[in-house]
Amino acid sequence: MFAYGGYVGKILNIDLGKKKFREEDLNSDWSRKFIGGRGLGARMLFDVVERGVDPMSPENKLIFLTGPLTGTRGTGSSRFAVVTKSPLTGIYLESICGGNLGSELKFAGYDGIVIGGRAEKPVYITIWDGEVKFEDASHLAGLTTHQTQEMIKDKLGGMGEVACIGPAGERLVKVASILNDKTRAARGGSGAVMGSKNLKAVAVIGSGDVIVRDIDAFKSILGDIYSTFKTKRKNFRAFGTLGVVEHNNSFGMLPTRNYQQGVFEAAEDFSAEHIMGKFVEKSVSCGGCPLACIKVTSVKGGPYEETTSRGPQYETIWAFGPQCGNTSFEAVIYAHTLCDEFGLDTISVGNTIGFAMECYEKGLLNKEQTGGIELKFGNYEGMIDLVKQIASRQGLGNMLADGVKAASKHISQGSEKFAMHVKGLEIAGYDPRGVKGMGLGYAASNRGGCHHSLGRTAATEMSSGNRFEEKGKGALVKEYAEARILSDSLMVCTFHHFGEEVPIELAMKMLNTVTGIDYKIAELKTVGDRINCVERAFNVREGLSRKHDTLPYRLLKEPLASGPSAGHVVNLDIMLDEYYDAMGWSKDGIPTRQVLERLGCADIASELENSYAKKMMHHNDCNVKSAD
Amino acid sequence: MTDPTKCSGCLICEYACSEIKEKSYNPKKSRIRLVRLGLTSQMAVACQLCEDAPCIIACPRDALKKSEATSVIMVDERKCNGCGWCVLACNFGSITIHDKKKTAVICDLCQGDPECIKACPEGALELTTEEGVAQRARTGSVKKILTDRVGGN
Repeated sequence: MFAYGGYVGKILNIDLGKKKFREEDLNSDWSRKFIGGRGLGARMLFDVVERGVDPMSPENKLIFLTGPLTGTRGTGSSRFAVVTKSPLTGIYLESICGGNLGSELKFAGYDGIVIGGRAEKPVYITIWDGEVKFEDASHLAGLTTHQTQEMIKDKLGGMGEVACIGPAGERLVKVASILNDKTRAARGGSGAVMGSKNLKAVAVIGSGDVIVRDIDAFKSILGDIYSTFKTKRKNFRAFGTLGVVEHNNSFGMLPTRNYQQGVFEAAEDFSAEHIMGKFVEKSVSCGGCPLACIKVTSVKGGPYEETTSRGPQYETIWAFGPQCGNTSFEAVIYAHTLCDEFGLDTISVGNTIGFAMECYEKGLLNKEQTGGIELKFGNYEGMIDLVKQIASRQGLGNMLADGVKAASKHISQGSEKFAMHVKGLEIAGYDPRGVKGMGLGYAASNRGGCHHSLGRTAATEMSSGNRFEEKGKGALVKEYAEARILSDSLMVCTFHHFGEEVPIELAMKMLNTVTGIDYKIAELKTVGDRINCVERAFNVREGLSRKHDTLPYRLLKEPLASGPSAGHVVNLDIMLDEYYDAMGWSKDGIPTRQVLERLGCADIASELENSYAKKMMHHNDCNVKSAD
Repeated sequence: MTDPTKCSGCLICEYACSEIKEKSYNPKKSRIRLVRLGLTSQMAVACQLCEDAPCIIACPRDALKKSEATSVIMVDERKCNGCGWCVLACNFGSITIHDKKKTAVICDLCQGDPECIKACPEGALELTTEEGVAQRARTGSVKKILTDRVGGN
């Protein structure tokens, strides 16, 4: 039996090339220090993927990890983290998927799966209570994510949970996602890693128990959290993330037409009330979650009639709405459904199409290159065509399928200045010129331009009235990152708001009653810092440093012309200095040996010193092709 | 009874049941089970307390008995040998065989205060009788007729 409650104590290690698997004991020292999910995944990835590994090669590993709460009623924790080296960015990637596969994996007897190698021909894996099989997937080739899950589940008697890729992942589209049920590990191209391994799906059926140390105490804490949600998250339970459109618009930071404006003239048509009244059929949940933030929408009438989508959440609405200058919400629903079926990340796809639209309007792309599409902002039919082309790598879609950074390199002619990404990951629907802390979050995130991975400071900055200030944001982002990383490692959904409606003390109590460990608050904060350092160490080993923690030219140099955030740009250096200082990193953004030792990661420091990074730490000289 | 228009498919009923009954988390040991058919079609199913219960008729060892006081189907664990005929007989898939005890497991309504109902965040579950359901339908339709046709309060 494993040292701590909540965990199973086993990791399944799969070699696709040899079609072999073995069970390994979970490292109890690591689970204590990194907890699970994102944190444990980062530590494992640092160990099993060496510097310079090609993300699409058999040497890259695809890690699925749960947390100690996964499989319990421990609120919103039925999830799993996908941790790998990203083909889109060439660096560390964590991407978290909702649904129920995480729980099912625990019931099947594993805390996680490490998948390496490459199958000779397309396969899928079934894991049934410790029995692992490699099945031929040739009949699933080209099928959508929905069809794939249905076919596999049918074969398994309607039982179990399936995580799979769609046609986009099979075609190695670098913005491809992995889906379970209708939720996704969307960001960073984990679907392409799965595709490169010739792995179409992982199916899991489990019937075992997840045992927690003090179930009565745990239940009583859950009662407290549920009653807090009933009052303090009433609005979120009703509208999910739909309200963000109007909110960001009212602050002039709703990125519109590829971040050329911060106000969207049709925002009212995309308001929460309008969408709820006209499109939403029902609210649904991932396993164990009382928030039911997923608003199932459907289209009645018009060219996209009978489209039903599980969502879209705010970011998808932004990506296919304001970002592409599109005012048809029906088209947003349809684009979202296509992305889910093909297995694509909506943020990256919408961001990249918006970029292509700006290129077209500026004459950097012509009609011949777009295959006849009049690719102006607002042309939602063209937008939908491009989604299909990206998934199938046809026409202009073939170039866009590698993400906005690659597309801007290809198009060049100054388009790099408005390619809205950080380290290759397309940024999301918050314009940091109107909320500066988010700019630091995008720039310093270890997976590239993400609005979540270091915590989402936007709401706090807006309500406290200091959204335009750079000063103080380094410490703020550090604090939010600690809470977020903790949440991602317990595998509690981000919308449970650790550090806010679920204070760290409550999170600690959940974790302590489940594991039987006596974590203290101060220790849990260092867990977040420790994981942040290990993620960063992975990237430092690949040759990254301060110069990669940057933002697109547009955000640094072009002030917004109008709206409530007019006149502002992001002064990043002030915030980076503060953040590095707060983290105890060097001026170059590199975790020092002293800090790593204090966090119990002397082994990481030694590895960094022994690797190529040694040269960089001492000479501040970095030039790695994959990272630039 | 589940109201499928309210059920969000969160599975908290299953977790809450195994929590109270098994002191562990295992939805497959829950007495109430969620069925998901599509994006918006989902509901939980538990023992329906059938009047002429097929499980009782099917049991070759007379291990099942309906409580006169509560209508709950009671399992005599000394008689039950886990043959599973009751599982086959149940129209609702509401009976399972316990993996360790090897006896039938049926919802006992938690002494009239079901844990799943208390835990459901959507208020989608309800303990009611046929008469309760019928009365609500009656009231609802009469209200509708009076509002639509008569326009009164």
